[in-house]
Amino acid sequence: MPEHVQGVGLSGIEHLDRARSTGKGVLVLTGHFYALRVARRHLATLGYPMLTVRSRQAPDSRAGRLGRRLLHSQLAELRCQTNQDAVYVQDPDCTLKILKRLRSGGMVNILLDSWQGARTVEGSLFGAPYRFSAGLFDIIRLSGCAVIPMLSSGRSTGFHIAFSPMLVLVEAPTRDEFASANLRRLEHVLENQIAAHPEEWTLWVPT
Amino acid sequence: MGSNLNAAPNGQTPSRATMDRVRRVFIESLRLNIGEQDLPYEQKLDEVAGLDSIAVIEFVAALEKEFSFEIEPEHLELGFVRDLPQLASYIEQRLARVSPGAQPQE
Repeated sequence: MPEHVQGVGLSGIEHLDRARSTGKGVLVLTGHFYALRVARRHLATLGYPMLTVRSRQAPDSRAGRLGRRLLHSQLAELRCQTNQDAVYVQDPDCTLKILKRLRSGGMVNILLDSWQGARTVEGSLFGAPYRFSAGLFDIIRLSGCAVIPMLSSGRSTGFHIAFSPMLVLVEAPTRDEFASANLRRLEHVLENQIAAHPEEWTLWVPT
Repeated sequence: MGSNLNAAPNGQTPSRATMDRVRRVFIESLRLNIGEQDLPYEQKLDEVAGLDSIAVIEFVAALEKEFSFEIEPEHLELGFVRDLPQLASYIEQRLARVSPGAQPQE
């Protein structure tokens, strides 16, 4: 078991180890929380590197001219430098890279509250309509990987990473059936994480 | 299809039967409105139909179901799965490993 590192608490690592022992790779589901980047870096140093699934974002319209012309590219570069173990949903080989990592017994981090990509699944979050990425359901269904929620929380005074038990999902032959059978479970994961630390979820303002 | 079948990069020429089967899986799994004659063996699969990331994994999953094995991680590359002769040659090699001397079944 990895040693506790001062400043970063870790709980539920036994759930992650159990998920890895299935041999089918682990999909780590997280939401957009401020501490996520710290969590990823810390886990990598402990021997739990994760492939991060990202989206190339166009400059935010609210960034202003200076933001769009200069700051956006700087921010994108900084994000890339802090985590180079990433794939982008816009790339046609994105899912192959994800599947490759999973089949190699590795870990992949997908942000559950992102709806990047053209194909989405209509769901809800706290009773309000919310879209989820259809690709997420395809990857889980087709890879047979273990799925485990992770919540990263905290500020510079101290961080905490918490893993929950593996999700028990219903198998289904098609994406629609799989999503229908399991969507509510994933919605609960996200809702529980947000409810635990609402002040740290970054998507209260839709982009 | 003519006799000028492309050899896979490993030098082995796959059988027409296997290539036809892969081609059929490609068309059916992506629900393409084309005939098999519209997809020559030498043409890259994504040149016929634009493949986004989801379509690629759907095709891979359909192939694995058709031939009853998982593609090894080192071969999960876009350049590999879009190349019909190379893919077919790999499939035949994998099937031969499971049942030496067996021919791919229709």
